[in-house]
Order: sequence, then structure tokens, then C-alpha cells
Amino acid sequence: MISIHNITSIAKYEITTLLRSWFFRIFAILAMVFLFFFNMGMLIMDNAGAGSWDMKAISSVIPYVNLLLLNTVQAIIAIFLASDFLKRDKKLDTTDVIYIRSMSNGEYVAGKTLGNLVVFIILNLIILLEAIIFNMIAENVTVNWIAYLEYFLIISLPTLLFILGLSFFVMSILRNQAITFILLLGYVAVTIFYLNTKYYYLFDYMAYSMPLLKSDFMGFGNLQAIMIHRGMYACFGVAFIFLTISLLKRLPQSPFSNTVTLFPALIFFAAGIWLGKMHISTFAHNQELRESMRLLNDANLETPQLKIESYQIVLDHRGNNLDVTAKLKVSNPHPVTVSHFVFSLNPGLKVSKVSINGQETTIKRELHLIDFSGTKLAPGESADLEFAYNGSLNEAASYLDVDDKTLQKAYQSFMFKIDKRSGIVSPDFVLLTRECNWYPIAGTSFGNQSKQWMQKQFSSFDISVKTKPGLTAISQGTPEQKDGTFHFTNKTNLSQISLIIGNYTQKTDTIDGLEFNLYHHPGHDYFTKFFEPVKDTIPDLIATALKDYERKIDMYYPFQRFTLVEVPIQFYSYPRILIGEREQVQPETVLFPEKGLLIQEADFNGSIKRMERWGSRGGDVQTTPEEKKVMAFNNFLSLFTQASARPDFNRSQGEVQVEEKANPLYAFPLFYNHAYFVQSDQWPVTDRIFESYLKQSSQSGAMGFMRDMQGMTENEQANLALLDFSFAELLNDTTKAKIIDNVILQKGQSLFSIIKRRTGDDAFDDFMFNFLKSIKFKGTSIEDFNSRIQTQFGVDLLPFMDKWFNSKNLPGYLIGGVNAVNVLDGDRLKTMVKFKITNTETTEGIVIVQFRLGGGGGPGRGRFMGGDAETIDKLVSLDGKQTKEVSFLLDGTPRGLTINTLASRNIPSELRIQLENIVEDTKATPFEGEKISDIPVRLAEVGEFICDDEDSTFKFSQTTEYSLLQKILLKEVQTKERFIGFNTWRAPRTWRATTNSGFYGEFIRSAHYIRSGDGNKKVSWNIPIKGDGTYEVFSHIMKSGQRGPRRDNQDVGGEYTYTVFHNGENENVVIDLKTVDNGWNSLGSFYFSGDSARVELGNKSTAQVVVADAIKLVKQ
Amino acid sequence: MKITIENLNKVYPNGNHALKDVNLEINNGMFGLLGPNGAGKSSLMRILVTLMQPSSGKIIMNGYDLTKDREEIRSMLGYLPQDFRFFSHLKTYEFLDYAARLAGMKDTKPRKLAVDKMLEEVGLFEARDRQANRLSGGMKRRLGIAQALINEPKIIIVDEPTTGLDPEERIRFRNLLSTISTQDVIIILSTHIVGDISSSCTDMALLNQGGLAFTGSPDELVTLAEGKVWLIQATEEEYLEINEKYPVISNVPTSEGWEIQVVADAINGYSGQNIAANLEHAYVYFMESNLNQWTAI
Repeated sequence: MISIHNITSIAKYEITTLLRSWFFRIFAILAMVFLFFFNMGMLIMDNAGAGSWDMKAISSVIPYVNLLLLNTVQAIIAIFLASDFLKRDKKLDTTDVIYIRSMSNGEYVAGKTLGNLVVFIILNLIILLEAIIFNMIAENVTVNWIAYLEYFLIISLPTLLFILGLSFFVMSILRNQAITFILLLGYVAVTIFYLNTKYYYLFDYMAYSMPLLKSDFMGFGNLQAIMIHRGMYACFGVAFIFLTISLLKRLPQSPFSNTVTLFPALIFFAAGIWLGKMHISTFAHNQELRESMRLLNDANLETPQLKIESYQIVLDHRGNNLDVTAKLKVSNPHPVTVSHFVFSLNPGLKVSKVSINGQETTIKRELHLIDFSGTKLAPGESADLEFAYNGSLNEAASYLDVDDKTLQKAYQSFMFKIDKRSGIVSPDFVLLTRECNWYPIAGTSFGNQSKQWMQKQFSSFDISVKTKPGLTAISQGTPEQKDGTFHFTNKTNLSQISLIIGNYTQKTDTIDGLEFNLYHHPGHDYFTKFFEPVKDTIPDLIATALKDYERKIDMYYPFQRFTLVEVPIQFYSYPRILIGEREQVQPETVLFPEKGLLIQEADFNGSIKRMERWGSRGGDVQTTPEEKKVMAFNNFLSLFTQASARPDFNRSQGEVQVEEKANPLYAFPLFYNHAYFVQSDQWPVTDRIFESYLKQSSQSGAMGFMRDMQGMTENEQANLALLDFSFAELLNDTTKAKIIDNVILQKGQSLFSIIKRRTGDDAFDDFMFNFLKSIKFKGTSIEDFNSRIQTQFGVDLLPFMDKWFNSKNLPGYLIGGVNAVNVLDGDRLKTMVKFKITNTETTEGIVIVQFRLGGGGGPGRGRFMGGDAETIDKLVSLDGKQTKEVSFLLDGTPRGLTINTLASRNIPSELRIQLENIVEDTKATPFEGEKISDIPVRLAEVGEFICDDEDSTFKFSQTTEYSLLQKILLKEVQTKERFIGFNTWRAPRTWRATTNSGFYGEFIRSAHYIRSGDGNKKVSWNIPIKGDGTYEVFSHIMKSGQRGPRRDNQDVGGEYTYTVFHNGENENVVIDLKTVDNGWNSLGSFYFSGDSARVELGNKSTAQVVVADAIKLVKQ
Repeated sequence: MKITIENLNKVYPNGNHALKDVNLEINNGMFGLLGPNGAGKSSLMRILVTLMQPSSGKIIMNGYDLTKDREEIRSMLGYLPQDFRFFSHLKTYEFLDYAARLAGMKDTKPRKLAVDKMLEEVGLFEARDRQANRLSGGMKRRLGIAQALINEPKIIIVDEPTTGLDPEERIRFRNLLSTISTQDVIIILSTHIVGDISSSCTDMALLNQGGLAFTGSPDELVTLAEGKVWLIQATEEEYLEINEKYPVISNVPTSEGWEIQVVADAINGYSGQNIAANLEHAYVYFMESNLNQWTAI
């Protein structure tokens, strides 16, 4: 019989001993202090005093993150304390008097384990109490009491059981605490830094990488996986504890008890292994299923796709089950009789009955495919199909085009991880989108060769939904609720529908004839009270924002209603290469992540606080509280009109990495993707090209700070890629997935720009307007588009497409002679801007010239101002090897111009030119237009000799030696990128290239820069000259103001010391950065002989960084 | 109560044969175990308290087999090891309470009373709230005795119990054990202090080189030495001679030279007189004559 008395007695005094140990006390205090400051910072002080939105939006994040932090450290401390107990036993003679007492080894080890556990539970309770106190003090966040218990059970308990058991076991074998400690620390390090996410986070015993965020809608994203994984570690922990009993160096109570305890050890081990296998096999099975599905899709490559005219879906939601009857009217759109066709349906849904024209028929169901053979459909013939099916979703069948690495990539915010769900069927919540394939779709889904999956069909949808009382069904169309059944009917055809069922509160309003619906979780109304003072203004704000956006993209919102539905945070979508829309954006519907977690714009309170903080710094005290709320609301609305999301900032080896991210909530697909479709079998990317053309006007493109961080924008990286690979190659290269959107954008822009050049700007816009109108909710093919454009303009696009698709050439531009003057045009004073532009390559190209007119917001303020500064866009097209002089007349005074070279060799691809001190030129003749010139733009005039940092004669010292620690810690050492960001506060220790349109260069406007130092790191320009003589030496220096305020070293003064080697002598020339001009600055005149001249620049300066760009010699 | 040891052997993995065919019967009362260092006393004790497995042989304690019925045997045991100094962070009364709990005292109230009583008996009541590892050496020893005696064990095994105790404490401790030994208990006392045995043990055994050299009462051991203890008045020269020939028990300087006590069958050539033997004499005589094959001159 097990004596509870013995166990509790041992536990009691183990607890007393541990609680009195200084090691534990110091650790506990440190943990408490650290988490005090962490919570204080994150929940109270961060975000201008509003608290971090990521921490507060969903209240379960608070216990989650607190326990995650504690767990990481307690797992290490537990190793020490656990191994300490066996060490003490070994050392203390007092242990003998305990060992001779009548108790089993099991009771002894159980007591010790319990003691250790209780001590950590006490610590957990203290930390959780601390978190609860902060949770209660913090504004605008509720306390999710149950989550505190759940996270303790999920995160802490299995971790402790496992690490205690493992430590006991290893210590029992090694019998040396130091070695045990080092060995287990090594294990911890390996699991955190290496094995972490491997094998679907199988080795993540601390639950550090496991997605554990709990949604208020549906709880944990994947409770079963969590239970299996945590259960596995708990089992292993218990198994190790039993093994420790067997290995305890004490004679057991009865001779066989050591052997006996091996059985439970084995059973728990087996259970752990079984759970681990289950964990892996779920994922492995999914992987296998996905591969089989892809193969099956490819096997049906030639199976023709039917046209679905209409869907009539009746869905019954019961618990974890869907019971569906789908009636489809299909037709054969092909010119030949079809006798074999397939439909796709999620493999988790079992088909019970299929009938054709009322006659039940047998079909072949293989994985997701419903295979009809033997049914003949003549061209144009239609048939009524009926499918009865039930079951739940197999989410592994979604996103077949997404690779495993991307699938496994964590969805996270600073510490916490979120599950990724593509669809949900649970008793209280259902979320189905087309990607789940919850209704039959004609043809196959993604295959490595099969392109059918991205074909969009517009069909008529009618859906009836029955669910349990209290839940609301949300879908596309006019809703009608009768006898607990939700019925949705649609007047127009749709490309897809979604269905959401949940406990929702609905808010609805009609603005400008458009029906707006908002469905949110009943407990998530944090906004009504907040916007109460400005609630009358809100409809206007929405209407204005919508109109602004419609104007911006020159398209109308195509639906009758707009529905914003809050969905569990776990709902996730992947960006695709060949499909523009994300699953968050459904026809007339946007699925908004729970409480706007991870979305700064949804943090209204934080927006106000940030405004107040920044406002007060800028002396902006005029704004009323109501105006601030209006700004916060506009800021929120802008979320839907921005193509880019908040970039990802990662800290890696102390260096900040920035990754541009697409905004999944960007509403553009509502305007284009869900209403139009241009199909092409030959170039499946065609629809995306149309999309990106229509979208381009909404792209700001100007992400100065991103360039500063990264060195190159993704558009520029796309250009570099396009120099080496054709568009076709890049589309098939998964390693380039990061920049593929940019490649599509660049290629799309250039394609349409070239069409436009042949058709004329306005004529093409009119054509497009009518074209889109005619295919709205229908879709068409590229051939149709081509024949229309051929009919109207005589332009045959198709032959050109092939070249455009496969060529590796890009145009390259040189720009010179930029000049802006004020001229009188009639009786109006206008600004005339002229420049000369040469396309040096044989490929034709086009550039967008954008003028920023005076007024408007400064950098970073655009979003708060509810719009961007006024800009005027002009197009200039150039044939291969062509030079043009262009001149523009502007009504307003431009502050600057940007020449966007699109897909080109130019880096930066956007050249920004400041237009300062524009004066009136009475002699100038006002002119707008372009002239072809025979004289290309020259970088150097006759008698000018230039050496740029891109030239081979530019040399720099690379003698830097790094210590091992530096090599490990400094990212820059390993950075292989050709160009890095410009970063004065963490400048490189070696000369590195960076680009900016303010630098000198042919296509690549770059300079090398370095952190200031002792002057030992030098660059030298070896400028080829012709003939001995006196030359004036100039250095190209980009002056501040080009790069935004107070970011440059020049702003804080400093000097560069050049050494000019001339005629056997050398001379130091010091240039004061405060007084330099932007561009060429004279270093003086010198006599040079031979065939080259040398100028050096060292890194000694009082400025933070030294920049080496270009040197020019002008013969005198 | 009775302990029967039959053919007990202990061979350590390094080949050291610590106990050789030990046969012993221990009955109620106090049993003394004497022997020089390395004689196998500690091995025997550790086997008796179930800390170590014998290599062969059988031990029956009160009808229970030591190798099979450890649960029952352990519930009868009280043990004080020789080196008893290191405690974890526990207070005096906590340590004793811990021992009391494990000794089977489940009910809180009687246990508390028993702990307090025991602390009184060993004179540690005043120090009950002090950290056990901060007690003086003697106090630690007393705490050790207290934990061995808590909950009235039937078999008490004490290893060098009086080491580190001052004379007064030693007497108190002997008396305590004597009192307990009158009840139905066995107390096994392993010691090198012969006085501990002579004053309290009814039976004893002498171990040497793993073997049992003598068993019986201390009086029987003394009888063996009767007529073998000599008091000799010796000059300086004689003293040096005698010291080489016989084991000298004591030597007291006098005005003429030395008054020395020796154990020997006979003292040929020296003038001396027989005096009454005590246990110490007997122990030395026994060890010297029987075990070292020492022959009288």
C-alpha cells in the first residue's frame, strides 16, 4: 500500500528545505522583479501609456506570456534543484536516518518530486497573482480567469514534470550534479535554439514555440494537438520519475519493488512515445495527404472543367458536423462533348449521395475528388447535380500550393504563437471559405502542373443554414431568418462564398445606399463607447474613405453591402503567387482578426495616446478630443486601403531585420478579384497582372525607412532578380516567393505602360473602364481582352506577351539636366520642370514621373491626415536606346519629383529629386511635352573624369579582423547582400555599399560607408585621366535633407579628410560637412601626371559615419 | 525481541571481505559491539539497518527476514549513524518531526507531544527553533539520538553514540539507553569506548577482521582476563623493556620510576602484582593474546 502520509511528510520537508534555499529565493525574486517590470512596461507604460495592444487586445495573452517567460527560466532552475536533491542525498549522512525509515523508494521519490513541484507551483501562483494584479490595474482589458489556470496546466505543469523527471533520471545515472546540470542545460539550449520548431515542435518541451493563444470565440486553436503534445511530456516526465525510483541507491522495501517500478516507467514511456507518434503522424499524415492530393490533381490535368451556373446549398450545422445538400446547375462550356469530369470537395466531408438530373448515380470518390465518368454532356448542355455530404473539414487539404516550410512558419507576435486555421467547424463556431472546399468546386484543386485551381467561376449562390439556437449565420447575399434557418440569396453571381456561424452581436447601418454590417463577439465591443462622441460623423467618414479609395483606384465598389466579421485570431491565410486575394477578404465581406489583435490601427485608445504624446511634443495642442477620435477612426479605415501591412521587425543577432508584408485586410480584392477575372491558360499570372495594374495607383511605393533598414526595397530586389531570370522562371521559383508580388507588380506595370503608350493614356483608361464593366461578375479570357484591344486600337498584345514573359532584359535610365523654373503661361504663373532621360538598353521601357506638390503632410503623417499629399503622375516612355527631353508645366509649385523607373536596371528604382529655390525665368518659353533627342544623357562631359564607388578602380581596405564573439554577435559580418541599409547608429565596421537616389552613379546610385574610426580603413579612387595637367578635384557628397530630417551624420556636423595624391606628393583636404553642397564639392585644383590620379578617404571623422561616393576630375 | 544472524558475509565489489561467516544471536537489552577500525562493525550495522545488502547469510529480526521484510524491520528501527553532522535547512524540531512522521507517527497531536518530550529528554527543547545545522557538535549528536529514539523503536542501533558528548551528557545518555533497554527492545551499540559497554551492556560481541572473536557478556570477557593484569613498579630502563614486550594499559610516573599496568599471562623477571581486571583490560588482553597469537614470555 502506498502511504500518502510518507509522501506528504517527505514533500512537506522538501518544500521547507527548497523554500529556504537561497538559490531558489534569489531566482524567485528575480523572476518576480523581472515580470513586474515586464508587466509594468507592457500593460501600463508601453504604447504612450495605453499598454501594448498585442498584450491587451485578447486577455488570455497576459497569462500566456507571463507563464512563457517564467517557464523558460523555471525549466532551468528546476534542473538545478532537482539534481540537487540527489546530490544532497549522496552527501548528507542524515539521509541514512531517513533511508532506514519504513517507506518505499516510490514514496520517497514521489515525496521529493511532489515537494519540488509544489515549490514551483507556489512560484507560479505568485507570478500569476502578480500578472492578475497588473491585468486588473491595466485599462481596457478584462481578466480571463480560466486562462490563468489553463496556461498553468498546459505550459508549466508538463514542463516541470518532464524536466524534474529528466533531471532526476540523468542525475541518478551520472551521479554528478555539475555534469548533469551542464548536460541538461545543453539539452535546453539545443531544444530552444535548434530543435525548437523541428518535427512540428516535437522537442518543444517548454511550449515555447507551440501555438497556444486562446481565442474568445473558440478557445485554443488545436486543443487536441496541445493535449497530445503536453501529455507526451507529462508521460515522459512520470516515466523518468519511475525510472528514478528504480535507480535510487537505497534498498527497496521489498526485493522486487525496483523491478516492479520499471513497469509503470515502461508504460508511461510507451504512452509518451505513442503520444509523440500521434503528434508527428498527424502532421506526417497531413503531409502525405497533401502530396497525394496534388498528384491526383495532376493526374486529372486533362479532365475538363464544367461551368457551374448556380449553387443551392442547404447546410445543417450540428456540433462538429456539417450535413450538406448542394444542388448545382452545371453546363459544358467546351466545344466538345465531355464524358469525364471531376469536382473537388474537402476530403473530410463524406459524400453519401449524388444524383444527376434527379437520378441517383454512383461516383468514384478519391481523396477530395468526386469523379464522374460515363455521364456525357454535349457542348452547351446543362445538367442538375445534387450532392449530399456530411462530416467535418480536413484543413490539411487547404493551401495545397503552399510549401511545408511556409505552413510550419510560426504565426506570432513577439513571444506568443498563434495557431493557423484555414477553416473551423466546432459546436459553437464555424468558419468556411472557398479554400476549405466546403462546397463542390468544378475541377481539381492545386497540382504541381494543374492550373485549374485558380480558375475563377462566377455562379449564382443560394444558401440555407440551420444551426443551434443562439448562433448567427453570416454569408454573402440578402439575409433572411425564418424558424431558425438563415437564408441568403444573391442578385449577382459570385466567385465564391463564405459561411461563418457563431455567437455574434450585429451592428448595421446604410451609408450612401450601401448596407454596412458589423458582426463582433458580444464581449468585444470596445469601440461603441469610445466613438460615442463622434458617432454621428462616422457614416460620413466611412463614405468619404470609400469614395477616396474608389477615386484612387478608379474603380467602384461592386457589391450592395459590406460586412465586417470578427473571426477567431487563429484564422490565417497565406499569400499566393497566382492568386491576389487573401481569404480574409471574401465577396462583400472582410474577416477581421479577433479584436484586431496584432493590428495597431484597431487600438483606438492607443492611437489617441500616441497622438497626444507626439502631438504634445510637436506643440500640437489644438486638436480636440473629438478630432482625435475622428483621426483614430480614419486611421482604422486606412487599414483597408493600405497594400502593405506593418512590416515585420525581427531582432537577429542584435540587428533589426525588416521584412515588408502584404496587408491581408487590404480591401482591393473586393473591388477587383471578387468581381473580375481574366483567364489565361498559357500565362496563368495574367489575372494578377491585371490586378496589379489596377492596384498600382494605390501603392505608395515610398518606404524610405524600409530602404534605410534593408538596403533595397523588394521592388528593387525584384528588378535585380529580373536581370538574371525571366518572369516565367521567377514564377516557378519558390525561393523567390518573397519578392514575387513585386516582380508581378513591376512586370505588370511595364506591360500596361507599354500598351498605354500605344493607345494613349485616356483612351486606354476609357477602354479599361468599359472592358471591366462588361466582364463584371462574369470574367473573361486574355484572348477576349486582346481581340477587343486589337479591334479598338489595332494593338496585338499576344505576340508581345511571350517576349515580355520570357525576356531577361530590362531598360536602364540615365537622367540629367533637371531644371525647374517658374514661367508665365498666359496670365498664370506655372512651374516648368525639364529633364533629359536616356534609355541606354535595347528593351523599351517606361517611367512614371511623380510630382509632389506643396502642402500635404510630412513624412509619416499621411495616414493620420486621412490621405496622401497631392501628387501628379506623368508617364514617359522610351524605346530602346532612345533619349528624350521632357518638360512639364505644373499649376502648383512642386516640392520635388520622383522618377519611378519601374522594372529597370536602376537602383534605387525611384529617383527622388528635390526642387528647391525655384525662381522665375522670364526668358523661358512655357512648354509641356517631349522631344526625342540625338544626344544621350552623359554622365561626364568632355574633360571630366569620374570614378564612382561602383567602378573597378575604386578600392577599399578590407582588413578588419573580428573576434569570435563579434563574428557570432554581429549580423553584419555574415551579411552577404550586395547593398545594405543606411544606418548611422549601427553603421558597419567595414566599408559597405548602400544606395540612395542622392548618391552618384550610372544605374546604381550607391556609395560605400563605414563607422567612423581611427582612419585606418580607407577607400581610394583611381581616376583615369588623359594627359598631364591641372585638374580640379570634386567629391560627390549627398547632403542631408535628401534623406529625411536629422538622420544623417552631416546634420550633426563633422568632416571628411581626403588625401589627394598628385605628382609624387600628397595633400590632405578637409571638407566641413556643415557647409558642403549637395552634389559635387571641390577639393581644390592639383597637377596630375600619368594615366590615373588617386584620391583617398579614411574613416577618421567626428561624424558618426564616413560616406565615400564618387570623385570627379575636371581638366582645366 | 531477538535478532539471529547466521553465516553473514559481506564482500565489497573491490574484493574486501568485510564480514566473514558471522553468527550471532542478540536478545533484549543492550548489546555492545566492540572492535578495532576496519573490523566490520560499520558493515554489520549498515546491513542491520537495511542500508546495505549482505552478500550471503541470513538475518532474522523478531521473526522477520531482513532481506525480504524490510518494511516491517524498518518500522522497528531507530538508527544513529556515526557521522551525523549535516542537515539541510531545517529547524531542530522540524527535523525531529520529520523523523517522527517517517517513524510512523501520523497523528499530529501525539506526534507534537512526543517530539517536545524527546527534545526535553535530550536537552534540546530550548534549541527547538534553531537551525539544526547551526547546533553545536554535542547538540547535533543529541538530536541524532533523539531522532533514533523517537516513536519507541524496537531495535535501536547506535554507532559511536557518545563521541563528542561531554562526560555529563555521556552519563545521561547511557542512563537513557539503560532505561530504554529494560523494555522489550534491543539496543545495539557499536563503540570503541569500552566504558560505554561495561556500564550498560548485558551482552556483547567482539569483531576483528570481519570475524566474530568473542560473544558473551562483558563479565565473561572480563573473566578471561582475570589474573592477567599486572601492576608493576618499574625503573626507567625496565619500563622501556616492558613496553616492548607487553601491551601497556597505563603508565603513571612515580618518584622511583613508573607504575605501569600490563596485560599478560605472566610477567617473567619483573616484580608485580595481579590486580582486578576490567573490560578494558579484557579487551586488550583478548585482542593481543587470542587474535595476534601472542604468547607469554
